[in-house]
Amino acid sequence: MTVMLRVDSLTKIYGNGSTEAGGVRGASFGAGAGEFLTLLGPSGCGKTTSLRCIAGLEEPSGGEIEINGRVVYSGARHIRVPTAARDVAMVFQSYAIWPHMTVYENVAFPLEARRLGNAEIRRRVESVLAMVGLSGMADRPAPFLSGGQQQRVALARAVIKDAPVLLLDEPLSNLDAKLREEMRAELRDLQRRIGTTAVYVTHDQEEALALSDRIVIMHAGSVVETGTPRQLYFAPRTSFAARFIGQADLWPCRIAGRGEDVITVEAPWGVVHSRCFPDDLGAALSLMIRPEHVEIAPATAPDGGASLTGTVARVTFSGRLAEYEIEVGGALIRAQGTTARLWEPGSKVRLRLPPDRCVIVNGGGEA
Amino acid sequence: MAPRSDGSLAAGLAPSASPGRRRWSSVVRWVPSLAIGAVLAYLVVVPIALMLLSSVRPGGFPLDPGLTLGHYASVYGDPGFPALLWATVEFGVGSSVVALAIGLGLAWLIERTDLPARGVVRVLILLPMATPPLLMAIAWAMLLSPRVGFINQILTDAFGLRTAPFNIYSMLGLIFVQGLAFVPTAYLILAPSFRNFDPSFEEAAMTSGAGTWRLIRRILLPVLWPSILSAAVFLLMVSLVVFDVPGTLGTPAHITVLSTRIYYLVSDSPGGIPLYGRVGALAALFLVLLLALASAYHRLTLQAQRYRTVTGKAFRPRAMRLGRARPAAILAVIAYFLLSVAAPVAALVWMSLMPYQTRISWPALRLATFDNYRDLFVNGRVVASVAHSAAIAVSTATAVTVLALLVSWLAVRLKVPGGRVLDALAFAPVAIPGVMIGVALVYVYLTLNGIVPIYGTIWIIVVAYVTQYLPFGSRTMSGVMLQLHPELEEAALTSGAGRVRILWRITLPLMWPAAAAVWIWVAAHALRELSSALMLQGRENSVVPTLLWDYWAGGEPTRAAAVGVGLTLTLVLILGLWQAASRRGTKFV
Amino acid sequence: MSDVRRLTSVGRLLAGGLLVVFGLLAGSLTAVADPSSARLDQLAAQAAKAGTIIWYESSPDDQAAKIVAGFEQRFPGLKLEHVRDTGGNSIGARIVQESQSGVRTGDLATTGSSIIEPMIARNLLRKIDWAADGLDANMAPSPYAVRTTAVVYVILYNSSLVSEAQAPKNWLDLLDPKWDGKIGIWVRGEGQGALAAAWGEDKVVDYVKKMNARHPVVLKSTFPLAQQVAAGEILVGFSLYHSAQPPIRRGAPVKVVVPEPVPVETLYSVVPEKAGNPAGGELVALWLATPEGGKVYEDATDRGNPLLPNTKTHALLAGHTMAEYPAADAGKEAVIVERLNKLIESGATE
Repeated sequence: MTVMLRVDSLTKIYGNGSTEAGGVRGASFGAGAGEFLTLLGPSGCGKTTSLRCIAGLEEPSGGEIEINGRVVYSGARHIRVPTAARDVAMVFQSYAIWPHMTVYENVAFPLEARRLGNAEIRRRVESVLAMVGLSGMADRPAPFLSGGQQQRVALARAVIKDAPVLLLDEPLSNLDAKLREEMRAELRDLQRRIGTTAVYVTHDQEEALALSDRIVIMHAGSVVETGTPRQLYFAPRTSFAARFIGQADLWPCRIAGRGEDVITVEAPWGVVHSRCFPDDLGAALSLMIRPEHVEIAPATAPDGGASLTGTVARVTFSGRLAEYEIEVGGALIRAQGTTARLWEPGSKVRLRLPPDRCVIVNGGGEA
Repeated sequence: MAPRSDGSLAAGLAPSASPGRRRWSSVVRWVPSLAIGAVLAYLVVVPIALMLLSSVRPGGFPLDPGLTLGHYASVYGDPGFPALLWATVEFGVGSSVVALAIGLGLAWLIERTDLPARGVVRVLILLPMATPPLLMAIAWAMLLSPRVGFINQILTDAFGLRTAPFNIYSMLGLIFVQGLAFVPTAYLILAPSFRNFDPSFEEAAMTSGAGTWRLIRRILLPVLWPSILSAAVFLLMVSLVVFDVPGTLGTPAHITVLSTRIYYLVSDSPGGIPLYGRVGALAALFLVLLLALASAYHRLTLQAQRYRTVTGKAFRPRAMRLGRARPAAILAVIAYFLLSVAAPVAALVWMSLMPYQTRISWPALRLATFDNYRDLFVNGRVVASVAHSAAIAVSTATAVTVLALLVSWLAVRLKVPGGRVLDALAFAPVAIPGVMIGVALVYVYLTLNGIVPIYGTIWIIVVAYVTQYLPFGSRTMSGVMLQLHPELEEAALTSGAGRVRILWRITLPLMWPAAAAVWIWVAAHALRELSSALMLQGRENSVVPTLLWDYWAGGEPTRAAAVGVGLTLTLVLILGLWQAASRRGTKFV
Repeated sequence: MSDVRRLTSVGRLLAGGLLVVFGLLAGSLTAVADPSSARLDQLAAQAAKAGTIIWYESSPDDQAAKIVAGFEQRFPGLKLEHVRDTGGNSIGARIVQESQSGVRTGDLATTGSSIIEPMIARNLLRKIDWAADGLDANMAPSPYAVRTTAVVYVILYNSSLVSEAQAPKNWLDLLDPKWDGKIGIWVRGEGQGALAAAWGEDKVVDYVKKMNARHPVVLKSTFPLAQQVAAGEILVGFSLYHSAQPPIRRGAPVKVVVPEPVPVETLYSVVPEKAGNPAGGELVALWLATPEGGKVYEDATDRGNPLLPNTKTHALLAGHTMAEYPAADAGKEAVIVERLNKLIESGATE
């Protein structure tokens, strides 16, 4: 896979200092051709700023950006390629549909800027409008569009440029939930069909997991962790990533013993084995257990090695699933199970913690 | 998360650079600021500097030798000074409050309720803007002067009063006339905020069970508060320098404000030559006061932007049902028009038909004549003045619009280095009285006569007006520019468009309604502006307002009235065009 | 205040053989104003070489046009251009500014002594040997200035609302309580100031204070004052003769009373040092001082030169005592006028 985007030590310091939210502090990541890369993080983490630096809408304070084999920004080498000359197209959070133009004029604009012939423009606009499901709406004035339609126009306008890298800034956040899921599928489908590289910014981890080939988790202007959705879900290496993606209980822990591919750790409520841990174990470690990975068995079931006993303290029933809080050694461990078997509060149970799902991550357990 | 607009377009301002070109690219980034900055400095800094220089010259002329602080001592040491300051503040605050109260009510009724015929009302509301304040004051004197004032006569007769109920020659009278004259400006500043107010705020309040009154008091006013305050500060600034109304109605009432004091020092002081030194010293106070207000204003508008209520989503503002209050609202609007337009214009028409000033009465009607109107067409000077005024209005309006657009584009959108200085410079002339701009320009162009021979021509007046109206232009343009979502332009940038194409295809079309509004406001004001034109009057640049003034001061108010009626009709026509233009635009702003 | 005080010292510059008009009986109110036509033609020939003659004066354009026509008829081939200055101090300001900037300024300016004095002090005016031009010291009291016309202060009243019997006859009649709130005065106290030449400062100050107790309507210009008398908004006015003429000509019920003494303010013509056509300026000044030019001027502006026996102003003032500060006392007068202006502006009665 050829590298389509390379962001190296990207820094963006705002005005009076670096502490202001939204800045970027030495972020590095990249994307291959046709890859769907998501920048994920809480608001103010610098993900939108990074995207805007790639587009050339913000000027970084330092670092280097390479798009399609061409360095478009380099602080050290004083390179700055203006936005219009970069191989990117972008979809904005507000859609930014020009209200004084029709749908057709909006979508045709990037081709017009490239000075293509009218016939060619018409042909391509029609095909792109068909692709986003807006055939027949070409002559509609932009202010007379619904939110979903505006979203499609924005997408069409970006896609028609045929740029190797498509930048998307929270494009689905203004849509209602149902439409959002629909558009999410369409977006992924469209990106696969045209084979462009997509860089997608969102704070919605579910969206990120569903759409992405790879996710870059950002926090306070830095990249915390990069990985495929599965890697980040099953084997995060940092407590931040563990907490940000999916549900997780994190417990401070101490290494009690180390085998070849297994580590024995001591958590506040007992001792467990872990087969999933980062290579670069730091000083402060946490044990991550996702509630859906805790298996609950009757207290009478055989021990089987990796198990603890406890009492069901609380049950939240939601039909298909039930959530439990189970008291073990003075602590409450969350667990989740199907309702094939429902445990009542006060029941004595045995908890199985498979070593593959007891994940040791770097960083404290603090929120 | 909110998109950061820092740098947005500016980030790509410099062309791609190789290592050796870095210094060059940073120079290039400064070019637009320096170019526009030079123009602004020329228009703004030079007059202010000359004025301050005058204030420390013993002889009061900037080219005189010597230095002194004596003018400051004599101005501020004058025992009458506190009273002067107080009268100025009273007049300024009073007329701003009147204008704001009426302007708020009208803006709300027109933009947010189901008041009938709102389109027509929207045009009519700007009519007082079309009547030169000098004529407005004369007309009101005819209606409300204590003895022959028409309204006073009617009321005295109807109720058997012994004394007239109103006296236009009083502080309240001044505030009333000036307040009415400011209403259109107040409305123009407030209306967009009302128009762009997100209806979901109102809807949320209504679903919370709030009635109309609670809605206005708890939701509408607080959300619009920064806009209201900034309108108040703008009006206050203008009211502190305004001349026509206190100049005409103030003297009989023994009311002197800063602007009329300056006029006195320039024109009527017994020393034989204008006391520019004291004018400068007084104006220095203006400058400090108004710059303080200007910075407050700047902060308020920023705050108003933070309250920005338009989102990317399209919405249609909802009209509130007036219900049972509808007849009362209609009556209030009619009463306003009677007061602000019908009554004074009727008084003017009456006066224009009389051979000399008469009280409005049946017996006087037999004196009626069209001589004054006939004179408009035969008098060569009237024709020339109209032609000059038209040329000046068009040039001034165009220059201000272009300059304001460039300044706001550079400062607000491109955020070029020094952009805030540009913005401040464009706003600073609000602090210079028109009389002083006139005085300063006389010097500039006398000195530059060899290079720029515009002294005594209409172009020197154009330069003065451009300086005077730049603050309104840049204020309006920056406001609208801030309202435009930056992503609209960024989307064009990521579409691969160059800067010029973006300006041409995206920014200008989106700014068009605002640009048209500024153009027409400036044109209308340039047609009626008096004080600086009086100072710059020369051999070949008589304009309609100076003609009016000459007629009035030369004892021919009836001819002045005829010219005024003609001027008012012309301006009505311009306003009609404006309305047509901005209606085209409202659909997307 | 410093400006005014400085003037007192320079006022004497105008002193050369001037005439104290105060106390002169109109019978002796004549001057030798007989420039020979040869001299006029000689100046005209010089002026023709220097092009258009530019004249700064404050009459409205249509009035000025009549004077210009009269001049150009008398001197065919010469072109006189009237530049209107709206009065007040702007003529002086314009000449000072143009002279300082080295631009061509007017060739002639016609204005009051208070405006001429500071220009003399700044060395902006030309000395001319008026005697050689045929003018005596009455007509040309200083090498810098020649008399052109006079502004005459009178009482106006509305004749449809006030009978002739009831109308005020002299200045003190204006203080009658029946005029309370119904009397109009000019914002500039120059008329009252001139009265001080006859009455003395204390009496005039007292007079203005008593006038203030009558709650006068203060107006910016005497032209609107006359119009207000015409309209009946005010019944009587302390005003000017010439500014009452427009409504009177149009049939308004305004009548003029000439009281004793008559405050007058002489307007002089001066030739600026930086004049582009000084011969032309001198020519116009000279022509205006002839009976012919003086008549043309008065017919156009209603302001005439009382020294010329063929003027209406001369007839108006016949048998009256005039009150005016001698030009040399322009500085002293300015101090008084400033004091009066403040009193009028404040409306103070004490």
